[in-house]
Amino acid sequence: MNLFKKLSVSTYISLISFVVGLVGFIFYFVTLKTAGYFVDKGVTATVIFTILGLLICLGTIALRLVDLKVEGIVKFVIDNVSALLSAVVSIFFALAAMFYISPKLEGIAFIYFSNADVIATIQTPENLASSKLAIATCVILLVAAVIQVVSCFFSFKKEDSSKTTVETVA
Amino acid sequence: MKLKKTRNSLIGLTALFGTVFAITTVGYQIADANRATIDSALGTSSNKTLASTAENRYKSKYSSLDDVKKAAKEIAIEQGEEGTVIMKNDNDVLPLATKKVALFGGASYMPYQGNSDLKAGNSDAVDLVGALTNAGIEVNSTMKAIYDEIISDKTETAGQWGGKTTTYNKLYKTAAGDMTPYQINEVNPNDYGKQGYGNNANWKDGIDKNTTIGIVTLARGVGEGSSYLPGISRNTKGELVERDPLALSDDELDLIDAAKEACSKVIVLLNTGNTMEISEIAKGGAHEVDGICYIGIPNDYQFTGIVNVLTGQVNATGALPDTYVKDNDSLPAMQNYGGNLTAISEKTYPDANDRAKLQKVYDKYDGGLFADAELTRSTNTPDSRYPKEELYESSAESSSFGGGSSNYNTNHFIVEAEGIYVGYKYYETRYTDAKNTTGNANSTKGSTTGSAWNYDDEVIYPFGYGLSYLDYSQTIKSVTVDKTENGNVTAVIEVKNNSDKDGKFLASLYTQAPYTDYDKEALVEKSAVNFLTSGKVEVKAGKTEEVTLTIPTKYLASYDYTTAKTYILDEGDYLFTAANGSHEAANNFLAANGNTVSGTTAGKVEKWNLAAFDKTTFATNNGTAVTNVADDADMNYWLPGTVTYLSRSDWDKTYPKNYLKETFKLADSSKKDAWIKALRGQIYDITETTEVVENIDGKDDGYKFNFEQLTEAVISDINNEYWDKLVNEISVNEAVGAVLHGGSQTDSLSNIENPVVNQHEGVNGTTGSISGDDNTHFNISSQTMLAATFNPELALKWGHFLGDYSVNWLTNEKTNSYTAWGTGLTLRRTPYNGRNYEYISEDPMLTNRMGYGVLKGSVEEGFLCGPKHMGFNDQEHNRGGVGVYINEQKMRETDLRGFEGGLNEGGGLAVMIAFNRLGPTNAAHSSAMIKKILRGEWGFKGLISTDMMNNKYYFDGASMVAAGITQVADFAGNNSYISKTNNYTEGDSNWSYITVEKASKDANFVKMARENLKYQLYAFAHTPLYNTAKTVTVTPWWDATIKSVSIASGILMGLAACGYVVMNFMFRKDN
Repeated sequence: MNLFKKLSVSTYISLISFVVGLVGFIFYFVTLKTAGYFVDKGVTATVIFTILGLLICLGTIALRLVDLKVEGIVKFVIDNVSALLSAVVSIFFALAAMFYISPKLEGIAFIYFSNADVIATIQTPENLASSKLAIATCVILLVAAVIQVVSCFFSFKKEDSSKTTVETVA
Repeated sequence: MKLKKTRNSLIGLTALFGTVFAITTVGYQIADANRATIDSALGTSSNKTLASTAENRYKSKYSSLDDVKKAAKEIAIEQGEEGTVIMKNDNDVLPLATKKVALFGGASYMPYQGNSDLKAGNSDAVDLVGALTNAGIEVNSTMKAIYDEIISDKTETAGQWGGKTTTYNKLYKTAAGDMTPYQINEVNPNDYGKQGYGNNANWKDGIDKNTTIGIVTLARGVGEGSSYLPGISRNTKGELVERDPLALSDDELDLIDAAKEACSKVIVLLNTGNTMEISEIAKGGAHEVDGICYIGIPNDYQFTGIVNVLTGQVNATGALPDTYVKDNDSLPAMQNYGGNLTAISEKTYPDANDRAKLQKVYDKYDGGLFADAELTRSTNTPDSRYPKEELYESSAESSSFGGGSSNYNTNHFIVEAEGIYVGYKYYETRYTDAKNTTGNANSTKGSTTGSAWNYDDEVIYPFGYGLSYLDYSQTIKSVTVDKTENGNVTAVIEVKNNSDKDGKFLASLYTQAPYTDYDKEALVEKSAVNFLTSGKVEVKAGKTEEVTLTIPTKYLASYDYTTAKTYILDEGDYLFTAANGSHEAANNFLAANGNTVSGTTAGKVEKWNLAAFDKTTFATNNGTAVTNVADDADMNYWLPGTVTYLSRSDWDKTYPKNYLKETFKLADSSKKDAWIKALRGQIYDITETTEVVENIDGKDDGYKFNFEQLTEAVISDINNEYWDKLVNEISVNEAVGAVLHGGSQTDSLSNIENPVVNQHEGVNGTTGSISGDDNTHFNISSQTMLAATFNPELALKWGHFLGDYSVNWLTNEKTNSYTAWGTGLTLRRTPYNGRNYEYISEDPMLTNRMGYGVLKGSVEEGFLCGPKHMGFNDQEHNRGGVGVYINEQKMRETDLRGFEGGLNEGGGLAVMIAFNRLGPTNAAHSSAMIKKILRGEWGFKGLISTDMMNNKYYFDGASMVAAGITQVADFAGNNSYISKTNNYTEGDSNWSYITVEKASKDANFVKMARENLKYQLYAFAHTPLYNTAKTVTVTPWWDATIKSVSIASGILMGLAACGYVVMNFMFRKDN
């Protein structure tokens, strides 16, 4: 319980971003394995950026929870890198989403915007489901990025009045 | 505290700007790759073509938009008037004897007009009801009220991305679905009393029988990517019935019977591009009607013309572009139709009876898979181009636009064993031989009755047939034959108007060539009747006029693919006659040969005698030797002796069997490796040569695509040195890239500064908006009705209009849309092809003459009208990979002949190649068809496009360059390169084995790519673009916006991140 009490708003939002990013990653694999137009159409860049995003997201959250007992320049560096990495998470999720949808846009256009005759044959339930999943994957990853952006506007560590006082006294 | 908040804000801004930077940076790449599509959607432009100050030679003959609109309507109405075919007219039902009609059938009120490409959709379009009303005909209100209620039952489905799709639940189905049972959805008149079906059980009381004529319109919808499943359909209730989809359903027959009960006389209008089985309503049928008219698939204004015919305002002069038979299975082509049906699953068809019904059909039409097609993917014979690819093993056709599971699509094939005997050429030749008791024509083979084959048992209305209201005669007066390579046959036909009214009349020229022992020996087939050309003439009452028809003499020759291996003319008498349809011509020829058919009056026949066998006159064309180029399209080339083509030498022994059920094994061929290579598209391997490639990175020698340099001498001669020098400036990266990615939109290339050119769709005319009037559309032609006019002059007139409005009245200042896939010239091999409505006829010469008119007319106006889909794209099922096995006589005398008129003597400058294979070779890889016949023999100098490139395994980049393709169709992108950065080792986005480095070592390959672009640019020089002063790149607002946001967000991200670190440092220092 103490752990949760220590979590800042930013951390909570980051956790949501992590979960949404994870859901996006699950959608990625569901799309990959679901019969339809985009079955087996993996994107390496998406996998890399999503994994990195998730790991960094988790790492920065962990850093906020753990008291590293470091001071001075080391603390300064860790604080800065940790904060900047939080920003990087949103960038990585956004890149994952964009690299994911980029090679699929023609296929999505083919399924949704072909002329009426072709649509009659290409817009099968499987292909529609597959394209909706692909779009959902992209959107979820983008949402994860946006949530992470929001988290970055909040203080990473919960305000501790006693500590603040100490700092002020010092 | 404030400082802390600012620090948080800075890291938040870093994340925000960083995310925007990431999205816009990748987004820009996406947008750049789809530049033309975005420009088109937003009405922007990324290139600007500045015209010179010189006056452009291509000028509109119309002075205002109103004049263009008026001309468009006039042409469409003319098509309606000349393309309405009166097939049956008994009891004086036509011209309409009364001023009252009752319309039956949903299509009477909402005619089938095809998909959006086929229908212009102008707000002042006139439908059948409107046209009748405008003509002063009273449309029965009781029936109209019933159908208003029936039509009101519609489902509006929200589009996936906005918009909506309206489905009329009680009307004909607009799409056939591919090889699935088509539902013939027609409300049964017994239901008129029901709520939602008219709610009027006493509907007959609302019709004054004595004074009202019933008009029943029957429609069949179909579409791209679909082929009808023959032999089975669904009725209105959705039940599977063993009734052909092109036959009349019980509900339709009930409808006709009800109309007959309620009205004094009944006319049936056939609203379809696919010939139907209508024996029940024809003479002697159990549901015989008084009149039958073919109206094809009318566009916005044709109904006014149709009604002008129905009311007798003009004489009926239309003729059938196809033979109407009792049972389509009597076509020899149906022995090898489509095939490769999907499994009959219990899930889809839970009723065992339904499965049994389908099984019968499947047993008949299924098949056509190589028994060992997996050999093409065998690891024993690896494909070096894709060493790491694990190719999909499914037998289904595959495609990929960033999805799907593409593979070589090698499994499917058909054997077109009917040879040249498509449509009337089969029926009339067999009829002739039956009358002459030769060639076992009277055998039971091919007879649908089980008895000896009999023409009258099979054919209802022959090709070229159409009734005239006004009594007239057409008599051939003279024929002269100029037997030289570019000579013409000139026939004079006398048209005598025996009536007391002035009117227009159709004169049609047919010929018969001698069928000799040499032909039998050499397997040269000769149709007993060949349509050559036709024309129309106005003749005053009781007067006579002469029509002079000319046609290149080369079309009298036959292709001998076994012995002379070129075109031959047999010695003997060549007969010519003028006739109302192929059957009348056959009887005229029989009589001329001393075998007058009882009950017929033989028309006059003119003879031209050739004293000696001639295999030299047409052995060259355009300075190119004409000889076999496509032996490998014949299954017998790979597996000798496996296929017998239909021959009139013995109809019984050679009648096609279903080769789709034969076990064809690649492994059984002594040429197995070559066969597999052809199937895989390994036609051209890029190899290192000793010859040095010039200008690998391009070079500016001062040659530009502009008005100053495109002099008359340059434009008129592709051999002018300018053209080679121009394309030699193009880098290897762009020369190859522009061919591989230049479709839909060509791009401006470095050094030569050529304009970007876009393409339009639409066999009924260029789709696209009109300058200053987005609500007007001029794609108002009807391909089906134009075909039925049998009037090449009208095709020429349409071609001129098409070119004029496309060049002068579309919004071309931004899009340079000077190309359209504006007609379809593929042969209608069977009635079941889903795109027959885009094509002209079962007859190559009618197709040839119409194509000649449309292409000649449009190119004269500076517009590139490209016909689709050259090379046996005669079925939609499995079109992206099906191997069409044919012999070379069939190749040259059927499908290709349809294209020859427009692309050879018509001077056409654009063409789209078929999706399918010729034998095992993708048509787009076929240098035999493209380089040897099209470029060589026909002297074609224009651009050559593929159909949509949707499968990198089926379409091979190197092979297409080598075959002579000038632009591979893809989604319009700014992507005419192998590597955007000219990185020598970067693979092409589709064909990764093609790199600048590799291509630059193959001088021949680069030469071919540049040569292909030469033709492309030459074609553009025959549009108003010859008047280009300069082509400049401009930045549209969306481009600038994305770039600006990307740059700004990148900078702001950096500043915010730095600011955060600095502030953190300051904060630490303070503490």
